[in-house]
Order: sequence, then structure tokens, then C-alpha cells
Amino acid sequence: MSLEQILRTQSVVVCCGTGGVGKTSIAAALALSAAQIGRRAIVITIDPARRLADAIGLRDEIGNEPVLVKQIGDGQMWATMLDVGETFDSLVTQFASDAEQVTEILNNTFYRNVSRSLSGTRDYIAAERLLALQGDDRFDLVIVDTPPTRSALAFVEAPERLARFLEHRLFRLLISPTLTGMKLISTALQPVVRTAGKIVGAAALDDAIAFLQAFAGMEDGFRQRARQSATLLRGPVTSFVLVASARADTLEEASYFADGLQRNNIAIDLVIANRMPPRFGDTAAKVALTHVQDPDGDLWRNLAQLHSEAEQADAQLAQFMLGLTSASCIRVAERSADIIDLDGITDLAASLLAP
Amino acid sequence: MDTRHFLSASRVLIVAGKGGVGKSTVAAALAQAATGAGLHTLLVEIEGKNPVVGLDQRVERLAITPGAALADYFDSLGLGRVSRRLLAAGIVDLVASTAPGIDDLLILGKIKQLEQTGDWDLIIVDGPPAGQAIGLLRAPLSLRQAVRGGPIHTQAIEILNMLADPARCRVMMVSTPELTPVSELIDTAFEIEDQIGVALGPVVLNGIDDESLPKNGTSNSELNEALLYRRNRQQRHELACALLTQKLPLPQLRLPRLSNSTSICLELTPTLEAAIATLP
Repeated sequence: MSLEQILRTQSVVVCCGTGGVGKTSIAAALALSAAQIGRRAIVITIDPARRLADAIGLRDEIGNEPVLVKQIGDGQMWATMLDVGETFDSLVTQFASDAEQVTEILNNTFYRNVSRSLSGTRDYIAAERLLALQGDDRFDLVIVDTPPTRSALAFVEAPERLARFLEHRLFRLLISPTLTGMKLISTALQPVVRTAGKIVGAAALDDAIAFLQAFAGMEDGFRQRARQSATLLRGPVTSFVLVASARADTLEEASYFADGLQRNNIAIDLVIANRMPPRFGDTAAKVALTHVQDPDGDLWRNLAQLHSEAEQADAQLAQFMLGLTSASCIRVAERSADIIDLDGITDLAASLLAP
Repeated sequence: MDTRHFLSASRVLIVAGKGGVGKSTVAAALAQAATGAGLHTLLVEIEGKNPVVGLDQRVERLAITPGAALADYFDSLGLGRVSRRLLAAGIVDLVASTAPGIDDLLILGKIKQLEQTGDWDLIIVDGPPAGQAIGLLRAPLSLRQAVRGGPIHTQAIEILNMLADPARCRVMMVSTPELTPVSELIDTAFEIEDQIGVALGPVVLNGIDDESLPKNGTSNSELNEALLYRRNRQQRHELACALLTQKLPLPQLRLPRLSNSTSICLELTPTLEAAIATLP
């Protein structure tokens, strides 16, 4: 699928890849490009590093609530950054049966720690947030800027994992409404709970069970949302775009990531090879090297070094693309300056769509 | 400073940095240099990707996964038999993969256990990407607060003790000399020091273009444009280095740009050793 097709037809674009390849700027540029062709696009960053606001020059102004960055005719570019705690709280509020349950959970120490500071929670909540934005009437396209490699896969796998946990016999027994504490836990469960107590500690287990039981009645809501997110990520309206730079180590990580997606039955539609080393003419590095004894020898040596970088990058990218037969590839040349505002993003968007 | 002295400062050295900055190759070169200096060194890989190739056979390596670390941990608690039953029932796996932070705690717990065996002079951890490093290092802190008493709580405290002791553990951050990764590194460095209290070693600036360039151009536009581009790149690198010096009071190890297919043994390690020698 070409980039233009993706931007015109899809509802979700997941930008993935290792850190340090300009993924956040690319995601913002995709949202801007989509706005330019009349779509109402929102870019959401779930990377804990706060680069989105910096990249589009809106530091401190982007939070969990979407902001309209730019209106272009009918098209719109929006931006938001995932606030894990806030999103989790609003889910609790949405699915709780009454205000008392909301208060009970939100004040639970275990919940506060889990929802505010542990990285794994981010993955569950990011998928939930994606689902919410996709269902939001204000937007027709959601562009997701994922965190770096290892946890980007975790993001893809998270909803499925959560759903499995919520469907597990153990979990269902633990939150069963007839149980109000350890003492009443059914005999079938007691050996398991005793062993678990040895491993995590009895007090810790009490807390965990109390926490899970506070959720009683809400699990179906959470489970359905998790299943819906998992389905959305694998669905036909979602495209995965892999952002990479043409260096041996980042391409290796990109391959690792592509394999991981494949295991999850997800295909990459498009590779954006960012920061490709530039060329300054057609002279091959080898030819330039034959001129190093000329009067301008130092200049030729410089050209030879730069063109050799470009040739190596080309070769490595070509090798990488061999393993991704169904994906198309867009090359973006290295820029002379960091992107720090919307003008930079506009330039980048133009070079993405240039033939 | 000599390599051995520098690398003996703590028993665990966690190397962290964004993807694409050469974190894994720097970790491998450090392990190579330490081995060369006569330190019994273990290179630990926690990301589950392919290991860096081209290292000396003498460098010992270990890949840690949360699952394997968990099995070891159960054995150490004398729960081998029971845990195998739970593992077989899929319950442990379910909890370990679903409960946030547990995988991070398992990995750090395994590193702490390796450190305490005293089998190695130096354990170099090819750590997670910069943003994830915070999550990894913060996990014991959060779990200590979230979990009352019991082995997880104890484990979290023991790991925090290791992290907070500069003689036992240091974090070395790696970046390319460009403005965005450097400013991100500065933020991360402060978070690591302030929130988690881990000591930071020198920052590695990897891939600095410091080749001397001709002063004057020529009439050939191809050559001229290439020269201008190269000058601009070197200026960006200088700006990024200056920003780091100004904002982060840590020593720097500056490594020049080497070709894409550099051999770690033959080129990167000697370069790193030379940079270490310049430290006061």
C-alpha cells in the first residue's frame, strides 16, 4: 500500500521502530499530510520521552486532552500525549457500578502505584486510548507514535494479554462476589493461594486480591475493551508503518521488530527509511577515491567518505527490504537541522509525499 | 585514568541509550576492554535481540529473560518443586507477564544475584533504550511502595540498595552527538539520579565527526556541496557536545565516527581505551 493510500483510506496508522530514528517527527508529519488531503487526523505519542510537543514546537501545551494543532481547509491535525494515570482513572469511572466503587479503587495504594508508575501499565492503557480515539467522532484517522522496540511489541501484545488474564479461571475465582477475603476463598483455590502467598508474601497477596476484588463487576467492560483493541490492531483499517534509519544496528532491531509483528499476524505496509545519508552528485565513492592525489584531493576524499556512507546505507536498506516483500519503502534524506516546529514538520511531510 | 581502574569503579555497569546510538556496540567494546585489562567480565543482554558479533571468545556473555530469571528465583527460595507445578499450570507465567513491573524486577533481581555471587569483577549490562531505562530502574521503587512485605518487597529493597551504592552499580549513558538525543539524555540523566539515586558514570558521545576538512572550496559543485554538508554536520556535533558540557556535569568519553562496518575488537575497543585514558 502506498503512503497516500494509507493516509486516504485507513483509520489507524501505527508508527513503530527503534528509538532515535525520528519516529515522533514522522508520526507528526503523517498527521499533517493526512490533514492536507482533508482528513481529520490525530497523532498520539505513547513514548514516555516527551518529544512530540518539542517536535511540533508546542512544549507544555499537549496533554491527555487532544489539541487542534492546525486546520487546513476541511482537514485537521490534532495532537495528544498519553497520560496513563488519567486514562486509567477515566476507565474506572466509566465501568464502575457506583461512585463508591470509583472512590475505593482510586484510593487503593496498589492501584495508585500500578497505574502511575509501572511501565507495563502504559502498554495496556495505550491500546485503550487508541480505541477511544478511534471511536471519537472528531477524528477519522489516528496515528500512533509507539515507544521504542521492546515495548512497542509489548504495546501490540498488551490487549490480548490483559484479556487472557481477565478470562483466566484463577482471576474469575479470585474476584468472585461470594468471596470477601482470604478466609472465604474456596477450597479448590486454597493450595494455589497458599503457594502464591509464599512467593509474593501474604500481605502483598491480600492487597492484590483486595485490588482485584475492588474491580468486581468491571472486568467484563475491561475485557471487552481489551478484545476490541486487539481486534482493531489486527484489523483491515489499521496499517503498520516501520520507521528505520539505514544503519546496521537499527536495521537489525527493525528486523527483530518485524519478526515480532509477524508472530502477531501483523504485516508491515510501509517502511520509511529516515535520515538517509545524502549524495551530492553521481560520482561513486570508488571513483572519487581515485582523485585524492589531485590538487583538490582533500575535497575528493571528503566526497568519497560521504558517498561511501550513502552507498553502505543503500546496500543495507536493500538487504533489509528483501525480508519484507509486501511492504513499500519511502526514503527520506537526512536533514541539516533538528525539527523543532511545525515548519519543520511541514517540510518533512512534503518530502514524504514527494515522488 | 587507566582502563582497569576506570572499569573497576563499580561491579555492575548498566549501559543505556536510545536505539541507534550504538549502545550495544559500546557495551560490547567496554566488555572487551575490561577483559583485555584482566577483569573477569560478564556481558549481560536483556533485550532479547541478536548479540553483537565479533567479540573476543574470552568475554563471557549471558542473555537474561524474565521467565528464566523467575525460575532461578523460585529455586533460590527453595520453591523449585512447587513453582514447577505452578509454572506447569500456566499461572506463574500469566501473573509474571500481566502484572506490571514484575518483569523489570525479575531482570534486576537476576543481575543483583549475579553481582552477589562475586564470580565476576565486572558485569556490564547492555541496557534498555533510554526511555525504558527509567521504567526498568523505577520498577523496584514502585513495587516497594505497592507491595506490602513479603519476598517481592524484600527483593525490591535489596535491588534499590544495589542501585543506590555507587561502588556496586553505575549507569553509563550513550548518545550520538546530535541535539535531540543529547537533550533527551540530559532529561533522562537527571531523572535517573534524582528519582532513583543511581550513580552515573561518564557519558559516551558516540560517532563524533572530527575529521579535519579543507578550508577552501572549488569550482566543482559536487565537491563544494559535500564540503558544506560535512561542515554543517561537524558544527551540529560541536553544538550538541557543548550543550551536554553545559547542562550535565559529568565526564565525557568522546568516540570518533567510525565506518558502519567497524570491528569492535580491532577499532572501537582501542578508541574507547584511548578516550578512557583522557579522563582525569
